[in-house]
This record gives sequence, structure tokens and C-alpha cells, in this order.
Amino acid sequence: MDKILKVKGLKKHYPTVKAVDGIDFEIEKGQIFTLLGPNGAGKTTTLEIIEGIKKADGGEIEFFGRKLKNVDSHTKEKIGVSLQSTNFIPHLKVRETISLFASFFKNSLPVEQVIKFVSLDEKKNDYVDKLSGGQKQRVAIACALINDPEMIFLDEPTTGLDPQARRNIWDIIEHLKGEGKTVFLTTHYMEEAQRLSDVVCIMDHGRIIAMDTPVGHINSLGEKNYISFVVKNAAELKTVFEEWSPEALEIDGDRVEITTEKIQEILEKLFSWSKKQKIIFSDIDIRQPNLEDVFLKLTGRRLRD
Amino acid sequence: MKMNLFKALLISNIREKEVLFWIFAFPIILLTIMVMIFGSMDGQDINFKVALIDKGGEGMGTTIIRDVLKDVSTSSEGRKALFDIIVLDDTEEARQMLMDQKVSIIIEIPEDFNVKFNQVVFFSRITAISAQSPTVTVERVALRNASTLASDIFKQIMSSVNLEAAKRMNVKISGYEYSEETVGQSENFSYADFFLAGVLVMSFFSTGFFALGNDIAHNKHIGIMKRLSATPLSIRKFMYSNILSKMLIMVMSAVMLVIFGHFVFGSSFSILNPETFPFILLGILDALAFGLFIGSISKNANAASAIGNVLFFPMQFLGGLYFEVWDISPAVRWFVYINPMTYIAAGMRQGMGIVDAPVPAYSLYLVPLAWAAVMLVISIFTFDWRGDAS
Amino acid sequence: MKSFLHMFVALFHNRTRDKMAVFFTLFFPLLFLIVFGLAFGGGSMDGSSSSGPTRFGVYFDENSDKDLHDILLSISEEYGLDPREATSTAALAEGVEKGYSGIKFGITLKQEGDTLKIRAYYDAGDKNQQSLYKSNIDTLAMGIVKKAAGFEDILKVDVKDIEFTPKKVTTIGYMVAGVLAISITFSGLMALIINFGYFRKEKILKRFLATPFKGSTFLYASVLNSLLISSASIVIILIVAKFAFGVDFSILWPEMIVNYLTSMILMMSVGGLFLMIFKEPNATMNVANVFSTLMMFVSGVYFPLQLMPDWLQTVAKFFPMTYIANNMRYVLGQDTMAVSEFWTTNIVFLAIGLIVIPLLGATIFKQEQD
Repeated sequence: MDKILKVKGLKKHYPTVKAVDGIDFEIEKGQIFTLLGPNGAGKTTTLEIIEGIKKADGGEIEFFGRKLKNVDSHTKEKIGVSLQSTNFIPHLKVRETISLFASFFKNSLPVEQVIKFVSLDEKKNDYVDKLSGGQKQRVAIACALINDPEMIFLDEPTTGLDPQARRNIWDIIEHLKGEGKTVFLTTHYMEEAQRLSDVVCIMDHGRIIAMDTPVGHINSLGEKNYISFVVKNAAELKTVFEEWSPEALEIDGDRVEITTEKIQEILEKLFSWSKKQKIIFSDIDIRQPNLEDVFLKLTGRRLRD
Repeated sequence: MKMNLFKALLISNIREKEVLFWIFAFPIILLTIMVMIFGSMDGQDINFKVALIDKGGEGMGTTIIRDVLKDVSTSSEGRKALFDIIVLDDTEEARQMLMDQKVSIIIEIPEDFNVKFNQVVFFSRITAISAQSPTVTVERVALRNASTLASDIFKQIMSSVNLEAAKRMNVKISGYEYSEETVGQSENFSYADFFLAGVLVMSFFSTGFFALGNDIAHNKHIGIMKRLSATPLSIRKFMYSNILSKMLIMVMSAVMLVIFGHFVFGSSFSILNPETFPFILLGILDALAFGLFIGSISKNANAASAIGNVLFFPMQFLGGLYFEVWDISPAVRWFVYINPMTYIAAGMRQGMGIVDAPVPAYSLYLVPLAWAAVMLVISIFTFDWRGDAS
Repeated sequence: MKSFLHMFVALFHNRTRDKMAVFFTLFFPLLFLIVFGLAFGGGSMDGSSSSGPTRFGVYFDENSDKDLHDILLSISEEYGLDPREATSTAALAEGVEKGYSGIKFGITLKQEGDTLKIRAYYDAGDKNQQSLYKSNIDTLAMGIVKKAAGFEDILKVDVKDIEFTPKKVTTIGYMVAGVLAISITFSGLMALIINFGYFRKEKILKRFLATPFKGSTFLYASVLNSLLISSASIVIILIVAKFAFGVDFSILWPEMIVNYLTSMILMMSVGGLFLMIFKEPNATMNVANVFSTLMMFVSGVYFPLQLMPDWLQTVAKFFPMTYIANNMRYVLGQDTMAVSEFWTTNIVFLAIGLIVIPLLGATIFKQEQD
């Protein structure tokens, strides 16, 4: 596979804090690569160095096969960037904003095409400062796509958005992947990382503490799935549940908690049994380990504290 | 509940650096600038560059003039020389210097000065034939302050020289005795007091206009009013708390200003003086009423700030806050007389006994009260108490 | 070039579509002009340089000499004074206080034996003018006693008003030049603070830096933009001054344009320096505001510098507005000045701008990279 970006020993130290403290990673063409970490982990600084906004204090970047001390405008022609902040010149219209960005590049896509891609057709003559958060984010993505970049950087594109707007952004990102673009994403939402990423790189205090596929991360935890529910006279039914051969079974009053690797199988058994016996269970809760648990295990802290 | 909200509003106001600056720091800075400039405009350091073209030659007349000029161009203890004299031969050169603003005026002693002087002195003693007087020419540029001042001063000097000459010539001339009285002023006039009253009014109204007005308009715009109307907290309470917090800010700012004025400029202004206190209250009342009015008629904070500026600017300059305006050009005098700021500032100054207002005392109370009433009534009728955001 | 033009147009839209910005750039200087124009159109703010005679009130004691009366009336004009007679001392005092008939001060005259008793009445509100009025009264009193004794001044002074300007100048024309200077100072100071300060704070600049777009392009586009937009307010003020207040300008256009450009560039540099020092745009804005307020009073626009204490006169020498106002009077044909001085100040303004503005660009983008 082609490595589109290689980062080695990247450093950015401030007087009081080591924002990025010697990190290495590589990104393959067509991947969605996610930096996951809490606020202040160094995600944005890392991103801004690679985007050519900030200068690194040390380390090496190899972009599109060229080794660089700092990212130059030649490289900037081939990347698209959406910052965490989605402010634009306030009294410009959506269309004007995107064409302003188009003017920055040697080659750019037709503005209308990009507007269509991010579904802003109806809003293209609105002023950017009158848009909702989700719409602003889509303008930001449109500006990132205007030069038809090979690689796109999205810094926390869904932070602060409502679920619907978030889903829209996810759709766009998946669409980009479908077009063969490489996407570099940062987020502190584990669902987002889990759903979208090919590789998740977990960062904390300026260092990378783990890097793997989402599944790989979860498997590395070695933890099981839990199913729990409430049923009347649970203790009397113990034998029934044992027949389903769970790895562990706990009954606490009317609450039953089953630990298993074969979550689907157990669920099927539960439903067919309850239907047959006309026993009503309630308050079902299924929990699978996720990246949050991975982070918790690695750092002893939660992602969003 | 109400107290908590009030506290929250007050703290959020005070935390904002902008508010802190404009409401607390700016009045103090303005007062300092004003007192510094006007308090020290005592003419102690007046000094003009003067071109002298002296074609007079030697003689008694020119000697007198030269002595006088020498006198005014020499500095004495603690006082700068009035004139810096540049002696030139050439009128053209002097004109060029006047044109180039290198000198304030040109004084020219003509060739025939001594001849005429002798004639006048000689003839006036023996006959009644009047000869042509020896004349010093002064050239000035009328619109330049420095030029007008310098020529006036020179004329005054020459006038006293003549008076002195008359006495020496034993002309029976009466002396004059000068005394003065400042109308509408007590002994203890001080610039610090004068400007403090003006800056206080400025500070009240800028809080009312910009802090309260913008706040209400902004809250209306972002729909806080609407959201509040869905909670047990009524809009009325919200408004009261908002007003109360602005009022407290005004009082705090006033206290700071007065303390500053007292310790830095030795001002004797007292808020609690029963003569000035009513005007402090009127100032706060009017500032709040205008703030409510601006907030009520504006769609958003930007509009409020525009309306505030349009009103505030003429009101403060044509309200006698920094200089007297009662007898200003008739084209705008009507504005001075309907402007509540004029009455509030004048009332404070009259109350302190530093400047009397040239209007009946009751009008000092009535005009601001009338404005407060009008503004409140308009606000109540235009403000959307249900809080529909636009 | 493509991106420069696009950025220029974008910034232009941003300013012209922002109602508040339009209001403050265009309307506010106008309001300023109208308030001061109407208020002080008849004479300058301090009264000392009004072109007409100074009016004063006078009351003669009932049994005062008829001669005194005639003398006063006959000699006042000579001293640039215009007497108005009051009916009583009380009326005189009231008149002074309320400025009836535009009188600035009042006197009562009474001959007592060998002495002329003259009592002056000043308005407490005009405190700072008192020393000027006192000197008027002194001159007048001396004139009266001399005239009464039949003594003709031996030494006379002939004051000639010289006009170097091509057209007759008026107080309001003089004031318009000051208003223009204030307007340029304000908008120049604010121009880069707004574009750079807020764009940086809002991370808009940062976003540009993630593209091949160059920071310097943004800088020059915003400088050019401010130059263009602020010129509109200058033109409007000139038009209103000409048609509403009848000011007769004789504008030296090339000098006017040069003066406008260099003054703006200088003030942008000063704003830029403030921004480099204070970084936060709101704080910078406040500093700029206080600075311009101070300059407004200490630059000879409203109050004669000569009356100020030495140290303030020295301070005024370091205030750009002092020079901008003086240059402006020259280019509007309201006064003259040394041509060499005009060009020297312009060159100095430009030189400061050429050093500070690129430095500002470099510093701001450097700060962004750290």
C-alpha cells in the first residue's frame, strides 16, 4: 500500500507544555485515519503542523513521498483542511466563501459541484454567519474539498453538532472514502472513531499511546460483552440461563447479567424462550466494550471528563 | 431566585473586560485628560514665535519699542518669555515664514517710525496740529489661534506702553481700577469638580445606553426572553434584575470616580451631598430609562449600539458635559435645552455650588423627570413582554 | 494576483455589507461634522479665534458721564469688540451667565474722581477663557482712559489680516479639516485592528494559512481595502461641508490624495503596533480609542496648543493628529504651511508605514505559527 504521509519524531514544545512529544505514524492512501484523545491531548497541534499552519520543533514529515522539515505550499495544493473553528469572513455568502478559497489554489473544482457535494445548494446565497453549526461545518468541508485534494484533514468536524447534523457529516466522510480520498480525522467521540476509522490512533499528553483498527483496539482489551435484563423470579430461572452456556452469570434480585462472546446467539435464545414461555423481561441492556473502555484502560481516565 | 439572577447578571457584566474598561476605566481616563488639559491652561507657558522687521533706525521711538520687545522676549523667574523674536531684514522672507507657520505674527517697524514719533511728540506739545502717528504693523493670519492670540497680546502691550508714555508726558489721564466677579460660581470652583460632574453623567448614560440597551436588545434577539417565558422566572423579574445590576454598576462606577477625583485631583464632589444627590438619582434614572428605550426599539445589539451612538454623541457634546453650551449657536441651542444631560450636569454643578445654571431650579428636575417618564412609557408600550424573538 | 483580487473583493464585501461598519465609517464622521458644524459654525470652540468681533455686555452707572458711553462705543470696534448695553448690573450678570445676545463677558463702568472703576463679570462655565477676556478688558480700559483724556496713542498698532489662501477661509472650513483629520486617525487606527485582530481571534487567518495563500497577500489586500473604504467618508464629509455649510474649498488634489494615503498608512501602522503589543483585539481597540480621544484634545484641532502647558505641547509634537490636521488644512486650501514640511511629514509617515506594516505582517503570521 502507498504511504501518503509518514510522520517521525514530531515535536512541538511550549514553555509550559509539551503539546506534541515525539510521535510517529504512517497513513496509507484511501484510509480514514483518526486521532482520538481528550481535549488538550495534542491532536490539533499535530494536525496544524501537518497542515502547514504551525512549525514543528523537531521531527520529520514525509508527504506524498517528499521529505519536509515544514509543510510547503506545494504540499498545501494537495491537501484540504477543515479547522476546529469554522469561522469565515462573516459577511460573505457561502458561494463567495468557497470561491474565495478556490482562488487560493492553482487548480480547483467548480464551486457549484462542491456545494452540491456537501448539500448546501439551498444555502449558497446565505451569509456564512447566519448558518447553523452543521451548515458551517459543511461550508468548512466544502472549502477543504475545493482544490480536489488527495488528503483531507478534518479537525473535530462534529463537535457541538446535533445528532442529525453529525450523521450528515459522517455521510460526507464516508462518501469521501468511497471516492478514494485519504481522510485524517480528529475527534473525542468514540462512536465516531469506531464507526468511521480504518485506523484509530489514541493520543494523550502529546504522545501516541496506542494505534490499531477499532476492532483491534477492542480485542486488545480482552473484554466480553454483557447482556443484562430484569425478569420476575430470576433466581428460580437460574437453570434456564445456565443452559445457554454463558461465560459468567450473575443474578441480583430480579436482574440477570450474562457475560458472553456469542452475543447474538444468547440474544436469540432469550427472545425465543420468552416468547415460548410468555415470560416478560424488561430493562434490557446490552453493552459491548468500546474505544472509551480502551482509553479508560490505557489512561485510567475517561475521554470526556 | 431573583437575587441569584441579579448576582449572576452583575458578575457576568463585571467579568466582561469590555464593560470593565468602558464603564470603570474610561471615565477615569477621560476625567484625567480633561483636568490635565484645562486645569493647566493657565497661560503660564504661552510663547509665540514672532518675526520682527525693524527698519526704524536709531531714535527715541524705536528705542521704546525695542525695549518693550526685549522685555517680552526675556524670560523671568518661573515664566517663559512671551515672544521669541526672529529679526529679519526682508519682508518677503517674513511673509514666507508666516505663510509656512514658522512664526505666529510679523511685527514691522517702518522706516519713518522715528520721524513720525518725533513729529507727534514735538507737535503735540506746542501746537494742536495732529501729525500722523508712528505705526507698528502687525500681520496675522486670522484663523490661526496662535496668530490671533499673539497679535492681541501685542496690541495690549502697546496700549500699556502708550498709557505709560502719556503719564510721562504729564497728560492728565485717569487711572483705572479693575475688579472682577465670576457669575454663577463659588469660591471653590475647580476643574476637577466641573469635569467630574460631566464625566459622571457620561458614565451613567454610557452604561444605560450601551450596557443596558445592548443587553436587552441582544437578549431579545437571541430569544432569551422567549426561553425565560417558559420558566417560572418571569420576564419582568429578569428585566428588574438586569436593571438593578446596571444600576449597581453605575453606582460603583460613580463611587470609584468620585474617590479617584478626590484623591488625585483634590475634588470636593460628594455623592451624598443633599444638593447633588437628587441629580445623581436623576442621572441614573434617565440613563436607565433611555437604555430601556433603546433596548425596546432595537432588533438586536448592533441596532441598539447604532441608535445608542447616534443619540449619545450629540447628547454628550451638546449637553454641557465638558464645556458650557447654554449660549451656543442658536442652530443647535434648542437641542441643548431639550437635552436631559444638560440639566443633570448643570444640576450637579449648581448643587456643588461651583456653577449656577441659568435656568429655573425646578426645570433642572422637571426636564430629566419628564424624559424618564416619556422613555419609560414608550419602552413599556414597544417592548414585547411576551418575548417573541424576531 | 488572482487570490489578491479575490481577497480584496471579499474584504470589501465584508465591510460594505456590515451595517454597523458602514454606519461607523460613513455616518459617524458626518454626525461629528454636523454637531460641531452647527454648534461652532459661528466661531471656534474656544472663542479665541472667531473671525467676528467678541460681544460683551456693558452697564453704565446712571450718573456716569455721557462721554464714557460715547467713548466706549466709538473705540470698541478698534479692539475687535462689540458692546451690548444692559439695563442694570443684575441684568448684565444674568446676561453673562446665560449668554444673552451672545455676550461672552460683561463690564460695568463708573468714573469716580480720577479713577475709572471697571468691574468685569465672567461666566463660571467659561473659566478657561477668562484670561483672554481679561486681556480684552485691559486693552479696552486703557483705551477708554486715554481717549477720555483726549490722548491719542502715540504709538499705534495696525493689525493686518493676511490671507495666503486662494479663497476666503472660514472657521467652519478650518474645522472641517480637523474633522477629516480625526476621521482619518480613527479609521486608520482601527483598520488593521479589525481585520487582523478579529480575523486572528476568530481563526479565520489560520484557515487561510492552511492553503497556499500568503499572509502578506492578506495584509496588502486589507490595507488597500481600508484605504478605499475610508476615502468614502472623506468624500462625504467634503460634500456635506461644501453644500450644507457652504465651505469654499480649494483642494490641492494630488497633495490631498498623498496626504490621505500616507496619513492612513501611518495610522494603520500605529494601530498595528498596538496590536503587536496588546494582541487581544478588544483590548487593542480600547487602547486605540483612548489614544485617539487624547489626541483629539491635544493636537490643536479644538484647543490652541499655545495655551497648553509646555509638557502637553511637547506631547502634541509626538501625536500624528497634530500633523495630519495641519496638513489637511493645507491641502483643503484652508491654511498654508511650509511645502517642505508637508512633504517631510508625508515621507516620514510613509517610511514608518513601510517599516511597520510588513513587520506587522511578519509578526502576526509568526505568532500564528508558534
